[in-house]
Amino acid sequence: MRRRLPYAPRPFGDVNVTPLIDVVMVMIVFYLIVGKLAEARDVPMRLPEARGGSSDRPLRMLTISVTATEVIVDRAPVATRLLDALIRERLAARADTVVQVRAARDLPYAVVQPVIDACRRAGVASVRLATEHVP
Amino acid sequence: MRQRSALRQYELRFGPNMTPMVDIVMVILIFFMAGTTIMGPEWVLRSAVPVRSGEGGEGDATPRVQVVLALRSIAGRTVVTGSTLQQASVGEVGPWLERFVRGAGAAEVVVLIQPAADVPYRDVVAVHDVCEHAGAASVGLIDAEPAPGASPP
Repeated sequence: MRRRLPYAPRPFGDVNVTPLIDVVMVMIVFYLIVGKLAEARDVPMRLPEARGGSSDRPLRMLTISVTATEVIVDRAPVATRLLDALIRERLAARADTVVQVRAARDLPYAVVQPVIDACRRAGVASVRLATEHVP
Repeated sequence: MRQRSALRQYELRFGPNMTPMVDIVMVILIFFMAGTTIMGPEWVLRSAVPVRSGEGGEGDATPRVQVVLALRSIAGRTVVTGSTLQQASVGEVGPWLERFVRGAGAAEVVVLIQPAADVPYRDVVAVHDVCEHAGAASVGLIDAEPAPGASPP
């Protein structure tokens, strides 16, 4: 003898899209993060704070990251004495290349100065100093 | 009889299902956390790197006034000296330069920052930042004067 259920099962006619949206959202976030990490975002560091400046990003950019122990260009450490030749080479290949210097806020200027000097020797008229924007 | 009442209890559960909302809120939360930490705001200040302190402005009809601000570290504190500014703090540079720019009239004010080796980089950037805010037409970085008796590099 079949037992009667105390409630009748209701047929459903619509698809629950919530799990689909969840999964898609997670995938979007994942690819956004991976994409950003894969980008040449260089060495993570605490940049000096500044209220002014701009956030534009030129098409061709040579990012030089300065840490207490090394100078990193395109994720590879470079000797400071070779830096001006490297910059000159990049500028010769693409004249519209913009040089951006990233240095940690706590470094003494003595660590950053050789990089600025190398830019000067390479004939760079102006550099972009990366900052952390404070509103 | 007992089983029937248990099922009836189950049937009485009602209210909105919070699970999808929690899911989406969590995803949005992660998104913004990642956004602020990984894709954080990286801005830039444009800094001139003149070869000599007097360089710049050739071929431009606009008159220019050049100010050299020397940054020194004295007892762990960065002091700024230049023109009429004598051993001022970084915070005093902005108001002073605003007055200076007003006094310069139509002439463009070019500020050249000359930091000493032991000055923290954040102070160099802070002075650069206030100079831009104060209305300097161009801000550049030049080398510090070599100490008397020091051998050339």
